Amino acid sequence: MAQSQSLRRIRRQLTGYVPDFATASSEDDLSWYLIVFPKVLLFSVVLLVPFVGAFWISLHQWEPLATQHPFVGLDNYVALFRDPIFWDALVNTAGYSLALIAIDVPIALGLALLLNMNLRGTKFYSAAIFLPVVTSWVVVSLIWSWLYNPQYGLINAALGTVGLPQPDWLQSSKTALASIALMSIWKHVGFNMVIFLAGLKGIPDDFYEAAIIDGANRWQRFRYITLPLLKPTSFFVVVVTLIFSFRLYTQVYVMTQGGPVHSTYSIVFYFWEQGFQQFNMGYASAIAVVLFLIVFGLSIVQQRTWGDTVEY
Amino acid sequence: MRENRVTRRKALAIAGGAGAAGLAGCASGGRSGDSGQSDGSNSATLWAWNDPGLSPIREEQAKEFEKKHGLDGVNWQYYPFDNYLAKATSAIPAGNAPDSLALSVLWVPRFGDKGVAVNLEEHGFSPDDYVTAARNNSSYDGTLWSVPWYADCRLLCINKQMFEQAGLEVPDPSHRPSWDEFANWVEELGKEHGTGYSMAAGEGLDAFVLSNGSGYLTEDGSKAAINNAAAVEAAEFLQPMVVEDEHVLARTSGTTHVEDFLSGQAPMLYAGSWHYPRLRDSGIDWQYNPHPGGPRIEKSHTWSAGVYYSVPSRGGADQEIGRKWLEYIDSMEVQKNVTRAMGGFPGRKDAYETDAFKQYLDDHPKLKVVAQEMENAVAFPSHPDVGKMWTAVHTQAEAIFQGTDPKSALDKAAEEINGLL
Repeated sequence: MAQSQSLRRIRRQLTGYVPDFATASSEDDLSWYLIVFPKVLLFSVVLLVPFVGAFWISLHQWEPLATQHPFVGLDNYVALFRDPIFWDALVNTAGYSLALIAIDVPIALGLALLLNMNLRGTKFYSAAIFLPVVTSWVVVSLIWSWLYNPQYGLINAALGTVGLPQPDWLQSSKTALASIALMSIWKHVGFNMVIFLAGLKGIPDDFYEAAIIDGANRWQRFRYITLPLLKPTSFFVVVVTLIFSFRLYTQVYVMTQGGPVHSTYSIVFYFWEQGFQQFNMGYASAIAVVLFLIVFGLSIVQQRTWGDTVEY
Repeated sequence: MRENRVTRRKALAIAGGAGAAGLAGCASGGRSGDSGQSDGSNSATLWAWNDPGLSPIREEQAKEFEKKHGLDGVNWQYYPFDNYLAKATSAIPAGNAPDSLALSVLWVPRFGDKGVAVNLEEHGFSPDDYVTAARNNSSYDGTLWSVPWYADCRLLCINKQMFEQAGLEVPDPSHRPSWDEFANWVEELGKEHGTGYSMAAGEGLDAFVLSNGSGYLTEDGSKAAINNAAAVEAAEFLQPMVVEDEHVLARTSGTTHVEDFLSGQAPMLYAGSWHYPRLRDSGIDWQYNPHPGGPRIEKSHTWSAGVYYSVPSRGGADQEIGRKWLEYIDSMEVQKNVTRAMGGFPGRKDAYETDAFKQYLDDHPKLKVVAQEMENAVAFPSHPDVGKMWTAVHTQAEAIFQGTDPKSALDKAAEEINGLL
């Protein structure tokens, strides 16, 4: 059997590096444990232990400078669900997330389709679109803060020359979150585009050739070949974008500090503000736990509703 | 053959034990001393938030301090202001506290309340040595927890040339405008230049509230005063100039309001005394004036803040070196020259009487109004959660300048403040 041969090969490779008892018997076979051990250890130290620690702290009134941390049970969670700022942050984060999934993903797919046509200058455009992805969020946020400046920003200067209104992009609670979302889409779209491009490259040309012989037009080829075969890629892109969007923090920190009037508070920003500005570590940990549950729950829902038919 | 069977369960138990031991090893790291004793080294570690303008004078002071006490070195560590408190708050429980650290006035009460600062009155420092605002800012619950390096106040700063262009007479620097006078200036300057005044939204509102005799708390500190008639009157005075006329810019981020003035966009600025070096070097023909006084009191008030040094009472700080640093900062050689050094004003009362200080004011007459207004400046509320109060009021200030009804916004701020008391 192929699997047995693989196992035997791995055992042979491990011989001399690990004790005999680890590879000798198939019943007490520890070779797989040795292979996964570094990853499990890393996962435990970096994620599992901190998560359990965060949950533990969330059950306490925990201030870093205090010598006592009284146990408060679920009080932090009760307070959280009664906290209007938390709900503002939740709505803002959901809105931002929706904007990214509804705008970023289709644009990325469109760009990938264009670049997959192997037109002239494809490499240049690929690099240009991907460049913001590898640029620091802080740098990009600062540059866009200047672009958005209502008095001497480039965007309002351009709008002014054609007689259009010049909004207070980051100073108004009506436009601040949308401004951040717009900048984030510009920065992130290249990442999704590359993933889609890789997915498109994986679709065999035979399918398109057969469809052309059958008389399918461009739209039909896209609708009945490209989209279904891109489903695994699309699933990955949507899940990754969702997780990414729920981590909204750096842009808010640099561009608006959550303002004006909490209009750009995100869950992660509120977590940071409570934990590292107000020093309510117990409350901040409760926010972290709730954020984890939201992202985990959404990922499960997506997996159940979409992922079942996905084949990798 | 020897039976040497290790089951999966045993292997997992060994791995788990090794992991736990590793984590325990990590947890025990760091400086362990909470006794305030020296760790054997003869050097000082000092913390401050990053301020490039102050770094050169701090380095100079470090050299002088090192020489004076025969130290092997003085190590300044700077952190960004936004993360500074988080850094300090995590370093102390972890046993990595510096020997002395700079504190903002919003943080002194928290350090005093949590017992992580040394009680300085037990070591020969006296609160009576300081000007009123500095004394209140450096104390909490009647005890002195920090020493002011310098104190400051807020003022009105005007561009004289832009005033003349708008047909306005430039006032005498000591003149305190009334609100009506200020509103007239804003209107005339706005007509001529598009903008009349630029301020930080939160602190700008604070200053008008204070200058009308109100504040965050009642005099006895028992409940919020930010929604009383005087405070609402201040908000109602400012709101139309920001929202309707748009002649007042209420900035929500950083130092944008200062940039507005320096770039020539705003002819008047809500300025701090610490902006003096930048204003002096700007090439603009400018002057300070007292902040406008409201109709309910005869003189204006603004916040006084500054930089305050403290010594951690735990976390491994060498308290002896820390106290020596505070004695150095408190010394007349530092205090009498603080204005010359960095534009702030002395925390110590007696420094104002020195020839060096008086001479400096004579040589720099624009600062005379600062000296005048230092007497009117008020301390921040002395409460461990003053930072949260500040955030609550400033958030509602942003709401007011977005068009929210001033009374309901300030009621909301008052509700939050009362929740903290």
